[in-house]
Amino acid sequence: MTKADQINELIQFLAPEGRRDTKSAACMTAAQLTGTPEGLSLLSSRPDALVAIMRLIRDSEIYTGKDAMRALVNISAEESGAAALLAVKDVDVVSEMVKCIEDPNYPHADFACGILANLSKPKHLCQQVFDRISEGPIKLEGLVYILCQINYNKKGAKLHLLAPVITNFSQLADGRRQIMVKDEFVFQRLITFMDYKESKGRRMSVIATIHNCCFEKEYHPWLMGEDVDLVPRLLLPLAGPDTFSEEDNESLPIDLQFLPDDKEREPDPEVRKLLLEALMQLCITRASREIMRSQNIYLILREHHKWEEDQHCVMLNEDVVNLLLRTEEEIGTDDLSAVEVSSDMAAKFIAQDMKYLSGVSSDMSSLTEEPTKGEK
Amino acid sequence: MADEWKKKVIQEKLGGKNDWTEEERAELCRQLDQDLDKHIDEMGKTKYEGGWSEDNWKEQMADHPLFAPYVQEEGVTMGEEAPMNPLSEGLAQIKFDPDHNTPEEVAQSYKEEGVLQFKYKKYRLAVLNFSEGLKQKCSDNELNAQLHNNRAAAQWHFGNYRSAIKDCEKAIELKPDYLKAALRAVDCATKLKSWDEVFTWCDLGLKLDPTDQKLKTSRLTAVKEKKLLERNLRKKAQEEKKKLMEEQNLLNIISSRGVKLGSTVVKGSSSLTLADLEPSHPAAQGSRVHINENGELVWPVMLLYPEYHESDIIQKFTESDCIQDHLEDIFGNDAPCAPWDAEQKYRVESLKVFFEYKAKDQLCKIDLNQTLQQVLTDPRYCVLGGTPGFIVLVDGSKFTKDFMSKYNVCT
Repeated sequence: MTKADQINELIQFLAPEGRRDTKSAACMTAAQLTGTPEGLSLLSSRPDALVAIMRLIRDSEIYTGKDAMRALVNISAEESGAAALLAVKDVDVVSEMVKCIEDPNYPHADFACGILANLSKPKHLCQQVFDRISEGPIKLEGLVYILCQINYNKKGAKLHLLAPVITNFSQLADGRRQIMVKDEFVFQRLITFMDYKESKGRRMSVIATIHNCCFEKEYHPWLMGEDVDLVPRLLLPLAGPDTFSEEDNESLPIDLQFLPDDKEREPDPEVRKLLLEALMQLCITRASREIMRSQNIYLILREHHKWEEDQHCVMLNEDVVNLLLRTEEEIGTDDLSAVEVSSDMAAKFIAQDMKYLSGVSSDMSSLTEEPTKGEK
Repeated sequence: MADEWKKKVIQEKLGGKNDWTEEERAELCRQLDQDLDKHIDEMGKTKYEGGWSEDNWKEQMADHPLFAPYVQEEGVTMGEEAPMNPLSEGLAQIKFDPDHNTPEEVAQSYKEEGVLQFKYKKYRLAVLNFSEGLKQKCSDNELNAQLHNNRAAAQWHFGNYRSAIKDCEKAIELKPDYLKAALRAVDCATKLKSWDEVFTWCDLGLKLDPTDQKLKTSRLTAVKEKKLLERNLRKKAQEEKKKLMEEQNLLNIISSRGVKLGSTVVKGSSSLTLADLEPSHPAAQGSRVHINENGELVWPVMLLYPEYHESDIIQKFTESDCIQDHLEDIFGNDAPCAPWDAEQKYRVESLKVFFEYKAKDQLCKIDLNQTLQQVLTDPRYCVLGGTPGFIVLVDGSKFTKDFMSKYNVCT
């Protein structure tokens, strides 16, 4: 029996109308196959097998459905598998997954989130996934709405993995625009999860999404205005227990005033990095810098600097502080993103950063001349 | 009641007879018709005077069966209940009697009646009518949703916001696209300052109508209000903590000085509490022992003059002050005599100051050049009621001798 024959036989057993026990065993075999590289590529090369698996995700036998979803998670984790799934004609994997996520009684919704996250991870597939979602009944706004409702799923799925899906979409210009539609409250809902303790993954993905959105300069006035008021939200995870005088406290945005003694800083340096990079992005225009100065956020950064142990975060902190402490006359340009940096200068700056990070002292004032630090 | 009215008619027209024959029934009808014709014939001959005037139309209308409320307002006890007009009750029966109507019809009637009362601002009656409508448990979910929503509207006018929100929840449960109910819930939750609830309802409402400007504004306001509320809570918590620490610090300093505190309740020296320091004397209240900017304790001190049953409160007696200093202020040459000092003998040079050592019934004399701190650290001294107290006597007077004779005096 050739491999193709074996697969053909497996597909027969996977038929939804087939016997329960054989179907269940076949589905388990398919899931096990995806655990090996050969099995994975074999299944990915057979659209009929992928269709057969997708048709079992709502099987009345709960373990069969679970095995089908596990197989799809593994397949979508590989870029080629993700592409193969998206290329399937008979069943639209994206809309199927959205349906699973939307259904509060679907038990494997966490897998569905994972599959969507996997599918949208490779940049060239992301746009495709995004477009398909935008055509469906539940768009990005709807997904965020579901994500932001605690206990949306009644079968115990947490839906944390929906957050990286949104992060992937935030890499697309269209995605960022949809997240920041001014009065849809998508962005505002996400913001509330910036200090979400229950799941680091969700917290990090939300912050990464916000980080990506901060690259849209024309949205800065809105992001920093009273409708969103992002700056205090970016600083809150960096703020520790209150050590300020009453007067200093009153000068801060109210989110940052009178923090309790047990206030903890964001424990993950990667997340702190994203927060500081986002702040840096907001610093590129004069108007934004002036808002931040008026909010006296230097106080928070000063205390964070004393506490920070991660070299990269210390450097990012200093970059922001350098911009805030200098006068606009000293900075000399309203929009730092308009400053032309020649490629050899950029290389020099990167080398300086590397040197700094490796612990060799360097001249800090020259570091801040590089305005576009932080890659998307 | 309707039965009573029927009896009355039977009584008048048929002498109380109950079992009617067809002929008798026809006869009664004929008679009633005749009466009516006669009445109409006579009309116009006399001037009509029974009409409603501008002055009394409101009362008249309230009594009229067509307009009188079917449901009595709560709070009227059975005995006081205004007798319901039998005609009005008959009409009520036509509309509300479950024997004559389907539950849907009855519920609909109650809804209409409730809406009418609502328009007249009779919110309590409106609530009762809507509740009656819901009691029918009719199968029309749209109608039930409206009843819940309307009851919520009426509850709102009483300030029963929590009940109103519950009705909104039910209304939305029955009719998931009921924007009006969501809007009302937003208003109620705003009144309750329950900001998280405001978000939830706004988001629910915005799902139904993403363009609703009011919901957007409410949501933005709720975010700001919540921030402010949380800030204020944090500030309060911090202030309380600070106060607690200051108080602990005060207790530590007092015990490090070796000052003994006593209270009316007997307990070990280890369990110092602030309650022990709260002055019990009314004049000393508000001047509880505290620490000044130099780190010194400042006590309220009481001077007792047993001869005249009088006393003075020195509200701020710094522990480094000498007893003498304060006596100078009160009884010095520059100070006027106390009004109770009839013989004008309470002058600083002739005063002696003691404290009571209760355990041994001793009266201990104080060296006036000692500081308060020195006196208080005397192992025999115990601060009662958070206020050190001293007995002031005039040296050599008869009263002093008598008074001292009750104690073992030690000098």
